[in-house]
Amino acid sequence: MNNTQNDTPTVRRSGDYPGAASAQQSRGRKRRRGRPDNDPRTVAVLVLPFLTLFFVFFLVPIGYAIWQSLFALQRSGPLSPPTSVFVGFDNYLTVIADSAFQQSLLNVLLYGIGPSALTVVMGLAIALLVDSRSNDFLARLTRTIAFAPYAVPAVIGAILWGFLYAPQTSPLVSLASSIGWQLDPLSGPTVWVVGNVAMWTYIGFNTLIFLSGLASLDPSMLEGAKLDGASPMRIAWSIKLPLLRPSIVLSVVFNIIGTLQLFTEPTTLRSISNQITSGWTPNMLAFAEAAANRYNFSATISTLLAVVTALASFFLLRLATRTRAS
Amino acid sequence: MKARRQHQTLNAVFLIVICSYFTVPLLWLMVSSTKTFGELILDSGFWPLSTHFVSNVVELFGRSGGAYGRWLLNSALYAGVGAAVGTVLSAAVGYALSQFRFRGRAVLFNVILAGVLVPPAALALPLFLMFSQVGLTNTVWAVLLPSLVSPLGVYLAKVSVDAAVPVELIEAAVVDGSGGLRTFGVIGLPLIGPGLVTIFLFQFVGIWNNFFLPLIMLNDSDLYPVTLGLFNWSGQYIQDPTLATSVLVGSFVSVIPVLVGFVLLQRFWNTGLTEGAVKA
Repeated sequence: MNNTQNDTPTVRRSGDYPGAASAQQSRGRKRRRGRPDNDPRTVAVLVLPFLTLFFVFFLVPIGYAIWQSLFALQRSGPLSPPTSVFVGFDNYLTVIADSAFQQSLLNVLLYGIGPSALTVVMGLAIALLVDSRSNDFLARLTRTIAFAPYAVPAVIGAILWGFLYAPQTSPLVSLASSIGWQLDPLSGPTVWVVGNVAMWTYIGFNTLIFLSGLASLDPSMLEGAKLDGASPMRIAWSIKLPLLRPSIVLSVVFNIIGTLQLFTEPTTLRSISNQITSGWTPNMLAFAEAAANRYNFSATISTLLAVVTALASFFLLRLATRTRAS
Repeated sequence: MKARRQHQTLNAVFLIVICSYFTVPLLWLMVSSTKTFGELILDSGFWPLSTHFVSNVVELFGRSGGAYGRWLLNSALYAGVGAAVGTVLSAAVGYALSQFRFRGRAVLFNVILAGVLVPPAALALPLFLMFSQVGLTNTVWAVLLPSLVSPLGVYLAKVSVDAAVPVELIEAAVVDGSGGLRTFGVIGLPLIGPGLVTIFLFQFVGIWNNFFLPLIMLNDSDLYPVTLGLFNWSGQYIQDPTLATSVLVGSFVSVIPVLVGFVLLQRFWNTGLTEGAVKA
């Protein structure tokens, strides 16, 4: 029904053609001629369903969290019911000064320069090694196997590694003790106990990003280096690596987002590790605050996290495009 | 030459070690899901396989009134419906952004692009507060509706349409009297078929693996996806050790179909990431 309604004006509008064309060319974007079907009703039908949902379930929650973060529950007396009062940025000052928040931030910082950075490095190393093997059996096998853990939900990955950590069920612990090594993975640094699970899940995903980047490199450039007698190591280090910059930025951005939002793995591992507190990461702290009905604090932490994530990603992407253009 | 061969060997050794790191946990999961709990405690090694896989699976699906089967179906519902509807919505917007010039187009595209950088977990808590005000927490909608929105999907759709839909073809269709929407459905969508598969996969896995949103939204265990259900069981097996077997077998059973799908459809991931990575 909608179709027939939209058809008539579409055909009639073909008169707009030349004007629309010049307007687009002056914009300097991809060369596209003006379209006879630039019918606003078609555009509306295509765009509005998504836009509505995007507004309600994406933009409104962001606005709502910011709004909530500016209020606090206060009582005028010990017996009066609490009322919501506008407090400006007070919640932010309280949260930033809170030692539990600082500790959680420190944890994700250590996580970021530790397991998260190693995820990028390993992803890159595997991709370069696979790429230098001219698509033999081992290269194809690694491609597939490295990516497989990404199919495993983070909860299940953490449950699985939990079994591999726990002394009663761990084949690794019993293997180690058979050669006289008293292994206790859970006594290791918590950042790495958690980080190993995430590395296992996400290294392959990063490898795939780098392999895609490598696939799009100009083969003639690599061919030239090979004819000049450069070793595969040398080609990887001096030619492929610098050209992979966009992929590296993409991978780092994904890892920063993942690090700042860290929640599922540590939450799942809490059942076997008493090193992980309920507010071990900022996101866990936000969840704990919400569970304790302190919604304003929870919203403040969520907003802070989102802002830091967005700023970090934005500047990285900016940096990447700027250096590429110069 | 000798140095090069050494490099080749080192390269292979490294890749074999790394492949073991990725496969060993999954192999152990497979072996362990054939064991009873007693067998697992006695010998948690990789060999030999035991014979209790079928009885473990029967026990798994019989536990707590068939809770596990329901969780699997819930996950399939959230991920299947969410990704299918989400893909169509993303494709429509991506197509409009690529093929039409309209007011606010640049703003819309930039806002959606910025949305790619906003992690879903950051939205979950405020979404909970919003849903609780309209009484929709602890319903299917609380998980399903937010999952429909995928900025990454829109971006991938736009890139696919840019690459795969020739302007001349659409123009010819319109000159022949095909309406804007009909052109989208009959010509645009089929041309970006592989792109659609990629978008569907990204969104399906995102929803299937999601934990934070259902954890926050759902109380009723009948509505749990399989991730949340297994998480709850795993928190309880200190009290009831026989749950450990069900958690292991349940993990194995829920992982296998997605894993197989992954390997079979891997080329779609590659294309999606190529398009994303090159243009980002």
